[in-house]
Amino acid sequence: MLVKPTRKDFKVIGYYLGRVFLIVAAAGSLPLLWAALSTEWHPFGSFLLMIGVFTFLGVLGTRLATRHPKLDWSHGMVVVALTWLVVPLIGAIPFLGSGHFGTPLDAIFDSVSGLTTTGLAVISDLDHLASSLNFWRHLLQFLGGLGIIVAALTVFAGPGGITLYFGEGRGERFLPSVTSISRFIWTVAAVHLAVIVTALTLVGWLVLGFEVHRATFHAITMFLAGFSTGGFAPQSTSIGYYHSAVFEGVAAISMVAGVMSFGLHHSLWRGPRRDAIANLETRTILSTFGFTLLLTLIGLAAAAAFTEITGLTRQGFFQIFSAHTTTGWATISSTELSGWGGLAFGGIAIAMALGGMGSATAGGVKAMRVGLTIKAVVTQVKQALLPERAVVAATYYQSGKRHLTHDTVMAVMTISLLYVALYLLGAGVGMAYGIPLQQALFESVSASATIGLSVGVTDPSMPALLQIVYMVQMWAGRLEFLALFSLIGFVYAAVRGK
Amino acid sequence: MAGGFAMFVIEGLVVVALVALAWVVSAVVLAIL
Repeated sequence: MLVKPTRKDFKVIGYYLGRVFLIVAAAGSLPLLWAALSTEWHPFGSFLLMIGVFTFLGVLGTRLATRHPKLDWSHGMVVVALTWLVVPLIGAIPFLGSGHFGTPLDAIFDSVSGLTTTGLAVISDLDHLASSLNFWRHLLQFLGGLGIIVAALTVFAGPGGITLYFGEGRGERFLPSVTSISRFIWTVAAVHLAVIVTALTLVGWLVLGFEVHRATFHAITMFLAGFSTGGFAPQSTSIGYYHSAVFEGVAAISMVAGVMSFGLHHSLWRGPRRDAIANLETRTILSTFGFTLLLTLIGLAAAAAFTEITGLTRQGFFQIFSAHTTTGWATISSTELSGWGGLAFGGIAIAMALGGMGSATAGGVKAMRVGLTIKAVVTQVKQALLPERAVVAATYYQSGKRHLTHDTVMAVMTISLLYVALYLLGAGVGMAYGIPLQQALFESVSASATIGLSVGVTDPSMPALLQIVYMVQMWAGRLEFLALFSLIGFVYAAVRGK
Repeated sequence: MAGGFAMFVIEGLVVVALVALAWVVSAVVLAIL
């Protein structure tokens, strides 16, 4: 029998939602300050309104319950799902009056795409967007990549905080408490921010010839998008705007940092470093990167898209690297990308579908699931070939040697199948609008795996229903379904429960 | 901060190694095709 949620359940959820909203309101003060310093008074007003709404809802929520009520698993999941629904809606307020979005849905689309670290965009005339709004787009990616909840948990981590952590698509617990995990994540982010922003600023200033303040703006925004594997860029031509292999190389470092799981960061920082190399996920992502790179380079060479080694390496490598880290920056236009076709196109689509690492800023199926699936298949084949009584035990390395259990395989297969279903959902709706299968599938995978590479389907003139479907895909893909199903279950219980 | 710089160097080396891999694969692919 379904148990109808009580008033107390709503109060607990409201309380934690309120706490999260207050944190996001505080984060909103950064673009507000940026707008004030840049004397962009129209965005300043819209940021003030957004902060006001977050603060109002935050105070309202926290007044619902006494301090730190107990948060159980289902409450936590509903809080996560609602956070990721409501924050992009309110976070779109500054975009609404900017004149760069045709409809409110367009503004919400970019907000969802930003927060989920996807990077697909329907904004028009991006190159003339106010700098504070451009900064907000990238800050949304940074918040979404690290996890809004993780941001909140750094400040408050009452009973049940670990539920919120897992609900945001993270499955690895590499430190004993959720507060220590959250603080470690922020330390990693802060240190990378300092080092990579400095490096990108120097490249912008000394190599590209930008003025220092312009170089700094580009460095900050590109770092926020790269480290979160988000893929927004301050210019409409993405990273291709810079026409610089050096800039692309340093930006690629931010993608490496972003795609790595925080458990891996922990191994590299605090040791043992052997863990980083022995880890099944590291080995899997390097293998799938090599495989998809090979497919793409063969495809490009066969189609004579590039006839000299420099162009083939640079363009092939960057697009695959961007796709597999789930970032979505491109050195070529969407028209050129859709023209690649054949094996190269397939290589990038596979790289997108299988990309990212768990407990990182990335989206997608993620390398650990790919690795475990391959292990499970190999084990099954071995079992079939050996005598009936033979027992085949499979092990893998993830922060220590582990046995591959039936439950793990079931969980991996279930989530992987759900991703495939999500890929097909968007592709089906796209085809219903007359988009060819290849392009509809590519764009759908890009949305579901939170990549952001586009073959031109996503633009300001796209159908509203397709926009909504892509938003659902980005949301479900980023949260890895668990929180989504919990919210559906909660709503169903509220309506039909007794 | 020193740890952060060390990480930057390690991550940079990863990028260099992967670019080198792409370069070699490109050379082989172009030679064959």
